[in-house]
Amino acid sequence: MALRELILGKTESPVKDVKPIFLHAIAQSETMILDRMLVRLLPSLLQHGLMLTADAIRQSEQIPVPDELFAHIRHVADELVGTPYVEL
Amino acid sequence: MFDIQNYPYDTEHHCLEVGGEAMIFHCHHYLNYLMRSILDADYIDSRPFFIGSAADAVYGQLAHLCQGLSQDEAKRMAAEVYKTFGYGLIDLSGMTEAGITLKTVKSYYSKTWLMKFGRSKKPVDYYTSGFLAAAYAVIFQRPLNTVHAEQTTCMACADACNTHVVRPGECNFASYPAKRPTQFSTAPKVSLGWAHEEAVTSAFLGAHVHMVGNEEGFIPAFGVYITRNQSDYVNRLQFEFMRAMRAVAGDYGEKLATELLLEAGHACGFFTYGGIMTSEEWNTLVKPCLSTREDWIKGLASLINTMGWGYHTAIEISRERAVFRNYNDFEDLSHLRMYGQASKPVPWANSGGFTGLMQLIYNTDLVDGEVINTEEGFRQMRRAKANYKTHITQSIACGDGYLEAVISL
Repeated sequence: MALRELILGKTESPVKDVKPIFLHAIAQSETMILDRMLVRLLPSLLQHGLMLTADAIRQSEQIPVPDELFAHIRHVADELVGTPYVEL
Repeated sequence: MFDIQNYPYDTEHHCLEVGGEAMIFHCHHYLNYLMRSILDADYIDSRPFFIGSAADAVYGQLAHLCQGLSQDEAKRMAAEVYKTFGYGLIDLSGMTEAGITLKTVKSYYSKTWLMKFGRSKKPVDYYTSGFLAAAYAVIFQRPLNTVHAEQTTCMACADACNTHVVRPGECNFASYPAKRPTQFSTAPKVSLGWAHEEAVTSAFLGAHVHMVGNEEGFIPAFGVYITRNQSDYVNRLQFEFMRAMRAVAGDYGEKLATELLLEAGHACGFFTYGGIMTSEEWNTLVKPCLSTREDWIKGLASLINTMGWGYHTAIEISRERAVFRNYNDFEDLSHLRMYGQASKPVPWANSGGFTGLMQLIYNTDLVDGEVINTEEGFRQMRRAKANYKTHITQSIACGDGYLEAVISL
């Protein structure tokens, strides 16, 4: 919950929960996929004042992020996981 | 012309030097995972240090090995070194003062990248670009920083062959200051304390000389493809990656990089040690000495202490927790040679390797003959079992007497 407040407190733009994309990546890909995604996403995360870790992602119930970051995370997931994330 | 048997194994420090360069074996799982981890950070301009790390290490080595040789002899020497170390085949006969456009269909990096990850979007054989730049500089006696090197086609990208272009011109890769001599740790060693250690180590001492490139220039061994690397080439990749990640995001960048560097070592330990512990040689010479799972770990350490990776020992071993040490591990020594003292531990590959070993011994049925030698098998095992955590507590580069890693559930 702290993570949610932290993120929501830093943005005024619409937010979406990105946790399902990370869950999709965990289910479909290699053991360290979260770490790989975080390395790839590093500049974007910093730009949004976020320092996510694989452990924090696993432990969070929700990870709300601004729309544009959501789109980027989804793009990186599609690229590294190889199986596109389908939004329900 | 080049014969690895001419270079004696240092039994005191458990390492091997060729032409002034410390040499270490790595498997294709480790090298490709390391390379991909660095390339994942696509906001870092890593190409200059990929090529520069190779060029720097190879230049020093070939300058030594080619002393007193004619140009033609030096070309043959460089090609033989490349083949012996398992990188594939290169023909340098067409190299002139103007450089070379070299084509080859035998490339370790292109072949094994495809095997492990499938097709790449960009050429992956940075090592060979660096090797050729160094060979050209040595053979034609040019400063390394006046050479331009690039790979223009790559079999990992589905090209028919690899093409490397090397020519005199503006240098497009990183160059580095001179290195310090190797400083071995003098800390007294705690031995494995295993009755069969000496017998196993003696049986395998010298066996490394048989690991040389075949007619294709590859070294298939223990179910993996290995190469005999200039230690400083591989380790500089790690150190430069870590430095770049720290520059981008400080401690956070360092944390993200650390996880992937440990994982590269983990994969290496899992696949390579798994291959060793299911090999005919193991079954014949080591397995008869083993009763417990802990014996398997000590048997493996006794064997790999003949491979040039330092002296591995275990202070404590149980399923829940183990404390490993390495006296004179290759990463710490490398850091001291190239960068001096470190403020934080650097032996990620060694420590990840210990974790891979624990995973093999306690999270698989390897000791009962089960073999996991596929990516999918590795993935499933990691998902199904509690994973070990790696904590590096001592590092020679930080001023400690040895590497120490605690592996625990």
